[in-house]
Amino acid sequence: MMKEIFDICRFKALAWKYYRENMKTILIFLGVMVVVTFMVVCKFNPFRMEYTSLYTESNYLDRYYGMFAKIFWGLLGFFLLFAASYSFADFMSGKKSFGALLLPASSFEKLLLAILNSTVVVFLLHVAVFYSVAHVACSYKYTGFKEADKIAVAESWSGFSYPVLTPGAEIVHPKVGNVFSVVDRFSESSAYTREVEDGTGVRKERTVYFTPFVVWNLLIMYWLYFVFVFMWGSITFRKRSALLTILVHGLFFLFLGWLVYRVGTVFWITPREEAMLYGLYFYNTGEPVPLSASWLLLLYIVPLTYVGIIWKKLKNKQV
Amino acid sequence: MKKYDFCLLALYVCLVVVFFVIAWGYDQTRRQERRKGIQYFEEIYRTPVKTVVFQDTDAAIVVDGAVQNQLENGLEFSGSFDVRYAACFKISGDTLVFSGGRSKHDGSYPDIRNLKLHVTRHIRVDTINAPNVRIERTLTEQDGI
Repeated sequence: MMKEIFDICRFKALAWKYYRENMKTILIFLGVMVVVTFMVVCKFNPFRMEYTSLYTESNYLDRYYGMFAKIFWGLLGFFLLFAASYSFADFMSGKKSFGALLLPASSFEKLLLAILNSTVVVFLLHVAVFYSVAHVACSYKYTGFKEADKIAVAESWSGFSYPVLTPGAEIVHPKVGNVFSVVDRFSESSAYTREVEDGTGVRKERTVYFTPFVVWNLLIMYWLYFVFVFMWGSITFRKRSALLTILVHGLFFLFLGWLVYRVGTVFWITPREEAMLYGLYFYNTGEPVPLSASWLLLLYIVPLTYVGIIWKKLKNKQV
Repeated sequence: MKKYDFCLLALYVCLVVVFFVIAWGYDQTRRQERRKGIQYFEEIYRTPVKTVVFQDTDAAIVVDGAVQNQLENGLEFSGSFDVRYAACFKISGDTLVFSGGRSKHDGSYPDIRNLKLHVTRHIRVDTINAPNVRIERTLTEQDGI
């Protein structure tokens, strides 16, 4: 049996072989990414121009920033789902599995390559494709102009109407902006207050934030979790892995939710004598919420467990 | 599905168990707080009180008259009350003093705002710097006439 060691030269050779042999599939995937991104960014109609009369320029740009950020993160999830679902397709296929499993590389190297392809590579490709395509779409599809510059409205050959502007009128195209600043926006808006006692026993309200560090980690954690769940599906189910993964997880989470609800309603019904004294109802507003959300980083254990199980399954297959 | 997949099952079950443990601890803390608050009020109801003083507070409390309360000492509360402010009630001798309870949200509304005190005519009610305490019982009741 092969030793579970990592050799960088062997890993490079494995990656090179993988990209060379799958170049056609990769290029098709890249093409699909470009077309899908372009269609979504253009709201599924790249031939219909959108003109917005501007009252305040900043609102116009802000509105498009929100739209582009949603499209970016939504499409990233969509592409990751496909990439992760097909990450072990060769190992599960009847024809290709022998070749893939008998390759002279350790199971760790094969796993690492699959993980890198489904996470980093897809992510970098998506960033490049999204920014290029969105930039192109913004340059012609979306236009903002000052209402005072409009002379008339004309009809185009394809049926949409557009404003005729005064010569030299100033027009604005929205910018894609930094889609990663959602992290800062979320950390700023996710502040909550709680009452804490200082050393002298005085209760004071303190604002607690999900710091950008915590939010970034939560984002990465969720990203890894999402990818590893579908990678697990890829190495568990021979056919229709994405569908079966969604089905299995969906049903299981429904069951867990039902269980939590049933147990919760049995345990946490407050008896009347614990809440009322004659006509007076007692309630609590003091919430023992922790001062930091850093404890959520412990949830890294979930994606790590998935990757551990994927590795174990791959090793077993190899043996 | 292989035996390793049951590790995932175990992981999710562990997460649910941890959630339940945390939620149970949280629930117990709240129950304990409420129990303490109820005990505090039971103590007030057991004490023979002749005067109730609301002092230096922005709590919104309505004081109403009562012909006869079901409690022996002649005062009874109704409405709802945040147990965190139970300690604002202090008994000294035969006087029940309520002080404290601060405003939050820039003082837009007080924390204690749905509390009603029903007192029989032999109990005197005084307010000192308590702008939101509203005495609704009549002067004759207050003076015991």
